[in-house]
Amino acid sequence: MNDLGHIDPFSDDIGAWVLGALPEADAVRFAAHLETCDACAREVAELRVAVDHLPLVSAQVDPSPELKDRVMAVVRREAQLLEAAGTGADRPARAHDRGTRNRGVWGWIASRPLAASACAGVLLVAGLGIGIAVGGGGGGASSAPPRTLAASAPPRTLAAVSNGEARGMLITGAQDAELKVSALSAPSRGHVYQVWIRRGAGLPTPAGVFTVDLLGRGAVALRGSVAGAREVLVTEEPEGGSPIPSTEPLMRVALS
Amino acid sequence: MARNDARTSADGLRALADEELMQLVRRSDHKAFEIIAERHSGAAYSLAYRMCGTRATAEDVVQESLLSLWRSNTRYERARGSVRTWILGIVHNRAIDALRRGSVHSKRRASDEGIEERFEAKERTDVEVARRDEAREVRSAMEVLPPEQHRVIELAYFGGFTHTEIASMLDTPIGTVKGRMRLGLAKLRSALDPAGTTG
Repeated sequence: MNDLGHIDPFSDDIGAWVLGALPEADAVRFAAHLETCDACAREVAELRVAVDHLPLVSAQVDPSPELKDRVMAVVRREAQLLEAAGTGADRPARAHDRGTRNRGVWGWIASRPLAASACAGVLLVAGLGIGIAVGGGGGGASSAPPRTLAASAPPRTLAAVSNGEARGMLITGAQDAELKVSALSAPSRGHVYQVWIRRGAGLPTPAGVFTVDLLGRGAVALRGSVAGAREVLVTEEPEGGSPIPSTEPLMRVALS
Repeated sequence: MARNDARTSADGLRALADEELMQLVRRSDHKAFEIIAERHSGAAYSLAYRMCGTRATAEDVVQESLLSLWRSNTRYERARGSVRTWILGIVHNRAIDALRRGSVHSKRRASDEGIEERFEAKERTDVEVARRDEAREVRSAMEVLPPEQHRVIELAYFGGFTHTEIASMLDTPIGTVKGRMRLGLAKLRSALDPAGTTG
């Protein structure tokens, strides 16, 4: 092993980072430091080998058969929605529908986008590349730095609505896009957040669902390209998602 | 086209390696996802139960983790290690979130004594036997650690406690706790792979 025992102001945190034992603020600072310190990054990689073996110490026990059934029920439903969305759900509404369309909340928003934005208390947030962690990855990765899709694609800004504290960032890459949120309150029990891509004058298409962790952080890779899209939206929907939005958008970003 | 049909048939999918299945999952193939879930939910649940201490919370953690994987909320990267390692990392983070919400702190375990007696998973295949052997190796490596290093690693990894909390629990300076974590992991790393061929 090389470079173990190297000393810098952050090296003492290496073990705690890999174990996921750094408090949030410390983890954010350490994550930023890792971006610039090869020695710490190498030691993290070394110690992570040890941490990756720790789950083996757990006694191996079986979950109930119902666990898989519950998971697959949600997965199959979402797969059906995504498959249905791929068969033309983003086509513009037909002429005879436009005057009589009554989509409830969504219809109101679609006809009054400016009013919706004004009422929601828009907060524009400049995209920042650090500090927002999403619960994923290996040891310490509950505070891992966000991963951008393509260094050449600058993050786009999101207009945050709802309580004014929630923030988001839409990161667009060469082939896909990812939405990251923070300080977003958890959805109601039995609900998830759903992302939509809207093109033209038609209904938006479902592009993924996500929830948030203890600190209100969440992320979702959008299913479907945002190329040519008008906007990306986030709504709260029942578990498994919905074919069309059933609530007012919590977040909205205009792409054109 | 025929090759694709073979890959996506049930038997064809089961023959695929995890990494290949994850490529299909990324394209919303729920059958590929189901196989991933079947292969790894046992290990995921075992870790979650070890950390959270109750079956219901452990199942919730595993469910959240698997759904996060399906929804591409956290994207698998080969450089990060095996698919199983990556999934267990997600489970670990979700379990820490559950622990730090406070509702299951009182049920945290300092060890897994007793679990084996109640719901031990059956040895089914050569793969499972090999994993048990590997588990014994890791336990042996943990046992040779100085007790104070073993303790802080266990409290951090399985208990989900921060170094600040551990320092308070053990009435030990934070710097000492951090040092024990770093040294203990380094010793564990050496014991598991003295030649340094992995990672």
